[in-house]
Amino acid sequence: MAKKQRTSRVALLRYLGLRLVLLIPTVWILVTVVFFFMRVIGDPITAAQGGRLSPEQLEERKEAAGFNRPVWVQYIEYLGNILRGDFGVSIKDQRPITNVLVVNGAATVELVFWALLVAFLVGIPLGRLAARYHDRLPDVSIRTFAVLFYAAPVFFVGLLLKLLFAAKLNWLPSSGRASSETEIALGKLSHRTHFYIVDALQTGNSEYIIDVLRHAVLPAITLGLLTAGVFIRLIRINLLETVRADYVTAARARGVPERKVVSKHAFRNALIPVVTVMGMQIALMLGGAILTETTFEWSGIGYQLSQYLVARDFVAVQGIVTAIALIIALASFVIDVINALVDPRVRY
Amino acid sequence: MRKTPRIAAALAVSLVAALAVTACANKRDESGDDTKDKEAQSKAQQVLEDAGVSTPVTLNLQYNPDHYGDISDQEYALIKEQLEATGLFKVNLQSTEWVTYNQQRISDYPVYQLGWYPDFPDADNYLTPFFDKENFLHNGFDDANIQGLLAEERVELDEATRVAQLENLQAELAKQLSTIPLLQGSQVAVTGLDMEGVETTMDASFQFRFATFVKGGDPAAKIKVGTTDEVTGLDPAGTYDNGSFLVQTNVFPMVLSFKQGNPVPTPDLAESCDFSEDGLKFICKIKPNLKWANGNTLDANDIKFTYDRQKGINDPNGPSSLLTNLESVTVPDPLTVEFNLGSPNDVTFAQVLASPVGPVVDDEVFLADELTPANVIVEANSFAGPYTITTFSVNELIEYAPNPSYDSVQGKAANGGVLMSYYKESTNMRLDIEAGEIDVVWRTLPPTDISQLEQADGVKVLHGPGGEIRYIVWNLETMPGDSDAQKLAIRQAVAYSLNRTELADQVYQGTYTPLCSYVPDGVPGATESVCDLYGGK
Repeated sequence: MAKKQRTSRVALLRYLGLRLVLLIPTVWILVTVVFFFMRVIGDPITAAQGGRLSPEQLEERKEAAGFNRPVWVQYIEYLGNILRGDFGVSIKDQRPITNVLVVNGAATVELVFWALLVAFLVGIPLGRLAARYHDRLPDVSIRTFAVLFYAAPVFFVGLLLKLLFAAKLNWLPSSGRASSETEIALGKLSHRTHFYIVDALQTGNSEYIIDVLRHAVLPAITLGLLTAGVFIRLIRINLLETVRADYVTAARARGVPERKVVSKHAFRNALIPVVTVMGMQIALMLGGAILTETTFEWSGIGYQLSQYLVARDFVAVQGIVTAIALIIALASFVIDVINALVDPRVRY
Repeated sequence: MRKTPRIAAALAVSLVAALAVTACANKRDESGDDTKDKEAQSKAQQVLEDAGVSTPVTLNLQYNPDHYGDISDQEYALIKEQLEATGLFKVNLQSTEWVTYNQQRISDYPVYQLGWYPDFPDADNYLTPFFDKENFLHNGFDDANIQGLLAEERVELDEATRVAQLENLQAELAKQLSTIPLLQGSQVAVTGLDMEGVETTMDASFQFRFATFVKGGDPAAKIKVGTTDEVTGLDPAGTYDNGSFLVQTNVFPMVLSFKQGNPVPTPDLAESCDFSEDGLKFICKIKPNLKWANGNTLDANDIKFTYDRQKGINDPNGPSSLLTNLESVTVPDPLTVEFNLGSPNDVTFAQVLASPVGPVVDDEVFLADELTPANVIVEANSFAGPYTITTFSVNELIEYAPNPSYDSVQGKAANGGVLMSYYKESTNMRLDIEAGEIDVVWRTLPPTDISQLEQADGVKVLHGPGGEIRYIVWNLETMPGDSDAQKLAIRQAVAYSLNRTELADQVYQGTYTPLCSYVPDGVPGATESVCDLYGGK
C-alpha cells in the first residue's frame, strides 16, 4: 500500500515537473511574439513622440534608450531584463512597469476577486436550480439568461447598468474605485496594499469601507455575470451527468435522502470541471477586465494598458502584455496542479 | 467579438455625423435657390474662371479626428458638402492618426486641418507663428510686406496704433489666404446650482483659476472639479499642455499674471515692470519678504533660476521656445530682476511672463539642469500660488489646500480647497456632475452633452470667450493650381464657398462660433477681414 502511494506521488511529481518544463517554451514563445510584434510597428520612441520631436531629438532619444541598436541585441537584452523582473519604464509617464503591475495589478486582482464572487454567487445556485428542474421552465429560463450573460458584450452590460443604477436611480457611483475623500484617506496609509478593500479595512472607518464596496458593485456585476453564464452551464451539465452516475444511484439505493445525494455526492464532483475551467476563465476575465475597467474607469492593469495604447507607449504595452502572458501561463500551471490533486480522472 | 466603448462611441458619432450631413444636405436641397449661396457660388466661379482654372478642382483635404476630436468627422463632412454644393470642387476627405499626420502634413498634404490654442492671449500669438518667415506651418508662405508689418506691431507700445496695425495686417493676410480661419472655440464649464465664482475665471486669459470658487456660500467648503485633461508633469520646464498649466497657475507664482476677469498681465511677484530706455531690458521690481509655502525665501534669484533652467533644460516637451527673445536674466539685487532681450520693446514679453513658461519655481528644491519629478515638488511643498498640493496622484486625483501666505493677483482662496478628479471618459464626468458627485466640470464635454445639459435641471452651463481656433492650412507649393494666380484663385473660391455659421450651429451646436479673421474675438486687434472679403460667416 505504502509502495503504491509512493509510486503515485513520484508520478504526480514527474507530471508536475513536466508541466513546469513545458511552461518555459510557452512563456518564451509568448515573450518573443510580443517583442517582435511591437518592433514590427517601429521603434517605440518614434511611435510615442514622433509628432512632437524634431528628427535630431528623436535620434538622440532613440540612442539614449538603445533603440537604434540591432533588433537581436535589443531582444537578448529584453529577455535578460525579464529574467531579472525588469519590464522596462513607460515613455508616457516614466513609471517602472513593475510599479504599474503592483499598483494597477492590485486593482485588477481586486476586480477579478469581486467578479468571481458574483460569478459563484449567481452561477452555482442557478446552475443547481437549472439541473434540478431539468428541461422545465426554470431550467429553460436560467439557460436563456446564461447565454445572455455570456454573449452580451461586457461594455454594453456595463453601460446599461450605469445608465440604470448610476444615471437613472442614482444609487451607485458611475466610475472609479472610490470617492475623492476615500482615495485621499487611503493614500495616507503607511502600509498601502492598493487592494482598496484591504486598505479601507485598515483605516477602520466604515464610511470608507462602504464607499469602496459601493464603487465595486457595478464593475463586479458586469464582469461577474460574464463568468456566471459559463458557471451556470457547467454546473448544470455536470450535475445532470453525476446524478446519473453509478455511485449516486448506489447512494440512492442505500436510502440516502435526495437532497443529501445531490449536495454531498453529485454536487461536489460536479464542481471539479469548474476548477478546470477556472484557469481559462482567469484569462477570459483579464480580457473582460480591460473592457470593464475602461467602462468604469477602474484604474486596473487593463485600464492602464488602454491608456498606454492610446498614447502609443509601446514599451509600456510590451511590458504589461508580457506580464499578463506570464500571469496567465502561471495560472494555467497552478490549475493543472489543482486538477492533478483533486480530479481522479487526470492521469499522470 | 467584443468592442471597446471607444469603438461604440465612434460608431455613435459616425451615425450622428451621417445624420447631420444628411440633414444638412436635405436643408440645402430645400433652400437650393438661396440667394446668398448663389451669390457666393457665382463669385467663386468667377474668380476661378478669371484665373483660367478648370473645374471641378480636386481637393485632397486631410483632417484629424484623432487629435481634434471625433467631431472633426462631422465638421469636414459638412465642409466637403459645402464645397461640392457649388459644383466647383471635388473633395476627397482623408485622415490618419495624429503622429503620422503631424509628420506628413508639412511635406505631403496640399490642404489640411489644424487647430491652435494660444500660448498667451495676444494678437501676435495668432499671427507670427503662422505668417513670419520661419513659421511653424512650413507651407511656403514668405511675404516681405507681411513680415515688415509683423515686426512693426511687435514693438508698438501705443495700444491704439498697434490695434490699427493689426487690422491692416489681417486685411493683407485675407487677400492672400495662406490659411483660412474657420471657427473659434468658447470656454465652457458646467457647475452645480450652488456654485458661484466660476464665471469670473472664464476670461480671455484662458486660465482656469480656483481661488474665486465658492460652494453654497460656505468659504470652508471643498470644491470638487472634474476634467478630462491630462497632467504630464508639475515641472513647468517639461510641460506645455492645458492640463499641466492649469495645475501650475493655481500653485506657482509668476512675475506677471492675470487677475480674474482682466486678461491683461498684472504684477504678481512683481511690484512693477517696465522697459529700459533702450527697450532692451524688461526690468521688474519684486515684492519684499516673499516666502514659499515651505518657508524658503522667494526673491529675484528664484526668478533668474527659473528662466535660466527653462533655457538650459530646453526640454522638447516644454515651453522654452517662448523665450526666443530672452537672452539672459540678471539680478542686480534680490528685489530686482532684469530680463535682457534680443530685440527691443517686445510688447509680447509681458504676456510671455504670464504664459506656460512663466511659473516661477523654488531654487532650493528644483534641479537646475534637469526636470524635477512631481513627487519631489509635492513632498517639498514647493508652492507659492493661491494653493498648495497635498495629494498628487497623477491623472487620478489632485488635492489642493489654500495657501495661507498667498495674497496677490488671484486673491486669497474663497473656498476650503479643491479636489480635482481626472476622467478618461467624458460620459462618466457628465454622469457625476448630474449626480452631484462633482461641483464643476472643466474641459471637455462633447457639444451634444453641453447642449443637453443646457436643458437639464440641477446644473448650469457657463460660457466664456475662447482662444482656441480651427482653420485650414494650404501648402502653397503642393496645392492644386498651375501658377500662383491659379492657386490664389482656388483658395479664394474655397473661402467664398464656406459657411461658418452652418458649421458652428449644426456640428458644434453653438460651442464654437464663426472665426472671420486671424485674431479671434475677445483678443484686442480682432477683425472680420476674411468674411468682409469673402462672406461665409
